[in-house]
Amino acid sequence: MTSQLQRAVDLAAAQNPRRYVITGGPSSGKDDLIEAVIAAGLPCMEAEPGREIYRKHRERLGRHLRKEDRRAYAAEVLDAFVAEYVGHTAGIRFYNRGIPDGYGWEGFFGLRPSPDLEDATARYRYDTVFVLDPLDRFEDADDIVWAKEREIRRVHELVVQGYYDAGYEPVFVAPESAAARLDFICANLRLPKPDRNGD
Amino acid sequence: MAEALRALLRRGLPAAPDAVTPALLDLRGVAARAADPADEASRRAALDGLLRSTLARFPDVKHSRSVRALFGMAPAEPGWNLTRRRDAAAAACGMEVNHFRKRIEPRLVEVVAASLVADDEAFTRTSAIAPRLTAATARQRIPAEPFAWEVAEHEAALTAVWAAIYALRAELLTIERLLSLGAGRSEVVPHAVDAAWAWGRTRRAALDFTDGWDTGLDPHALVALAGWAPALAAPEADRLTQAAAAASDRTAFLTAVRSDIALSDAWIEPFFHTTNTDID
Repeated sequence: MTSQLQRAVDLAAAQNPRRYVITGGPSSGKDDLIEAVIAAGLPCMEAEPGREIYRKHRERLGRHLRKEDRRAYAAEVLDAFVAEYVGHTAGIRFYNRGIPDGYGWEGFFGLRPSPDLEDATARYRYDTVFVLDPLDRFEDADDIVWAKEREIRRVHELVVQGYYDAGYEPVFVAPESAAARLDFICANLRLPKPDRNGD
Repeated sequence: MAEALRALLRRGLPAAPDAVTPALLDLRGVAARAADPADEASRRAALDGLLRSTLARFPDVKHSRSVRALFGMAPAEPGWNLTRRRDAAAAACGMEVNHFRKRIEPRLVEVVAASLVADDEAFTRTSAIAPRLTAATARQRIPAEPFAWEVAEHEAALTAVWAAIYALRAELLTIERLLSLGAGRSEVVPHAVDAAWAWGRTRRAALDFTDGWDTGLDPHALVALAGWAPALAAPEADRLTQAAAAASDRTAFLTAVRSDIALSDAWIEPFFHTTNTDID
């Protein structure tokens, strides 16, 4: 990390918590950006808790999660996100998805937001939400959208809508390299850019 | 669409009830985003989010601040009237306000309208269309996250249904070709058995797919995409489906259905006796 960025992070560490969400649908390049955030030395939630919880529920059910299975799953994911949120008490922290992602998840499966999700969304607020627009083009050369890409697009837009429903005004991060995206995010947060010369 | 947007522009964002027309609220992208699609207020909130995300990602960088101001986003503020928003929009791109109103504003509204139409298209449910395939240029890596897993699992299930539908279609086409050639009963019946096995497996796959996923599709309509097949009563269709799904191979299937004379008659005889008039 550059001394400037390090100083900014150290300075913020003694101050009130500042929470920044990085989110987006599949194929948004989120994992690459999270890796870049961590490599830059910025405090960041590494693994999205939904992964392990999903694996556990799928293993228990022996099949994919149907609509009727989703409430229990969503409640557990919400608990994990709330724990992540309250566990951070000072300084900067980036989040691999945030609590309002639940609106997108539940909407994708035709469920209305649960009261617990609405309550947690109102109580635990993030400072800035960065939405990564998908890296892949949605349409092919013939201007025909594939079924799979329609689903990916649908998930992504429902996640975005979830943040609007939750009262956020997300910052959209254009589909670029992870390094360029991180530079954009740092500039938006008035943080020094990470140095990539090994200094 | 542009006309509906111009009506909304008079009040700007957030979208007010009396400024929103059905043309906007009925967009598929709006209904899909709404927490409760049957509720107009919920749809209006979804439209608000859709417009804000569209304006936030406006493709024309030169006019992006202008179009946002025009609709009431920063640098404009909620509650500003159209005249004030238009002033801010013209200032954001360094233009005289009358020139902006006459020349630029209509074009910007058209671009936003086109984005809404494109979004509407993207939300059309196309699950009844077989997934398009192209030659792979690289290994398909699935990102390690639940959304990606779910989308991949959905595509796998959809692909399996289509594999069954096309397999059934091949069997049905074979029967029709043989009948057209004047083939004898002894030559056609074994293929009718193959088709019965394929039909049962296809119906099982279609039922599983429509039960397990929120597709809005009718399983019987999915099976019917393979082509004409004898119309079975519900008990017979269920017996055939159960036998086909349980059979590990053709012999096992044949063993399971051999003694079911009613089912055999209901499936095989129509191939020899049904005419186009009957189908109509």
